[in-house]
Amino acid sequence: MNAGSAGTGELLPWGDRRGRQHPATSPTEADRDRALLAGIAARDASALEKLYLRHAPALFGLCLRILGDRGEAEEVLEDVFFELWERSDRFDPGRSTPLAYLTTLARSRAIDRLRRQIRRISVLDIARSPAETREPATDGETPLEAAQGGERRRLVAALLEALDEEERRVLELSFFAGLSHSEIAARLEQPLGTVKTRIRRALVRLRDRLEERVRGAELP
Amino acid sequence: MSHESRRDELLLYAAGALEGPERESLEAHLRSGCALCAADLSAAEAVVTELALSPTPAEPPPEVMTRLLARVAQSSGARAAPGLVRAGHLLAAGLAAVATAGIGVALVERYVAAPLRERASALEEQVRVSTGELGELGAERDELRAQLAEQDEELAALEETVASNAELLRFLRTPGLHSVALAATDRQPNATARVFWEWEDYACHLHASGLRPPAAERVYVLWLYTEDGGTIRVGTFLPDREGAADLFARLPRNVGRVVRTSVTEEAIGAGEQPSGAIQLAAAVVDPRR
Repeated sequence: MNAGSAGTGELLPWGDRRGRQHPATSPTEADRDRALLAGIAARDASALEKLYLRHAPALFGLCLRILGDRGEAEEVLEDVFFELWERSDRFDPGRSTPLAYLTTLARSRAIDRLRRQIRRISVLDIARSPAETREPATDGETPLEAAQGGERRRLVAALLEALDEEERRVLELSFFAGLSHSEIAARLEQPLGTVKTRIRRALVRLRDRLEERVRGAELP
Repeated sequence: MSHESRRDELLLYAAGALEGPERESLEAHLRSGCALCAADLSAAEAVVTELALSPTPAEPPPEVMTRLLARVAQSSGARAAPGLVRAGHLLAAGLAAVATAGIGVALVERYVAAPLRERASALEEQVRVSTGELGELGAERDELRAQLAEQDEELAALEETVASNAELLRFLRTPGLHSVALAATDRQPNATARVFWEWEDYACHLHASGLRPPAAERVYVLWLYTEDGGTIRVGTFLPDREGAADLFARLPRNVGRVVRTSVTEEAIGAGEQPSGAIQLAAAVVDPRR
């Protein structure tokens, strides 16, 4: 039984209402996103606008990284938020945070579009790495990012950079170019087993190093 | 399969990098309802989200939001702020006007002589300059709108604080107020906490200080235990930067005699029974008969 919700409601005295933690991990930020998603489900367009203002730069950076074309990335970004508006019931609050859901949606839609582009150009040229030839996002850190976890993003980018070169390469082809294991094997002329092992190692190393940093940060 | 291997597979799965029979086998295992794997999958998704957010953020042009809001305004059931719906309709009308102007320019190009063509290109230049200025104004408007939204949120937070403080003050002035001090466990070496009861009004208030912050994605929960073996989840709270926290709640009218209270650390959205480590606890003497 939840006495709080039956009576005056639970009071959550979040200390820092302008939370400085990463939006994906901070309870304050994730709760704020959940409240905005509830507004979207109630067909409140201003909630969609607020959610867009909070996360569009991060998601646009992701779409640009995958597609390498501002026009294409803009269209995907618009489609992602419109899909959220039209199908907000697909988000399961018990399973993930709104930012994780939005990130998955943006990555998936950007990769779908990338694969369609590649098919248009040449089915034979699929082995050429789109992720490697993309123009980098050069806008730099936005004020929003600075407020919402730029430091965390830079840490992940640095950890990615510190991976073994071959491992990072296969991870990027898999994650940011959406290539299957066999496509990566063909692209890099490597045995399939090697590709699988490298993707696994890269992800596990990234996870373990992130966990080490978190444990290190918790120590007094 | 060892738990560690399964944990690695969940990471690959979350990143979309698990294929074929391995993926099918893992999905079947997840469908079986393994709680440990469900928790590990959430952790894996958090890592994958961090990876996805590792590229440098970039500011999309304001037109993207304008187009989005125009689509929203035209979709069914929008309960948008009136200004937004209007902006959407205006945009649709503007696009139609631009299309018409385009046809006009094409006719002029085909049928009108050189002086008029020069005039048209001067006008085009003016339009180009104005469009640039419009873009700058749009960016400024978006920035102001973001600032306004932030101030609204701050105001709402302040109003919430004032309301809860007023309620707390009323509560503390109640005659016949009882209180109990909670003992801190080793996990909270500097914490002091007290629960105040107003039994006639079925209200209680926790005030704590010197609390450590909980781990990421976790909160503190106040529990009551009744003589008949019942457990009541009173509410959740987080300490502020100084480690202080307050929680005010009304108890159900049919609450049994309370014999014990505790504060535990729980995952956000956890269930109706305590499962996390005890931070604070005390025996309670409930004066009701």
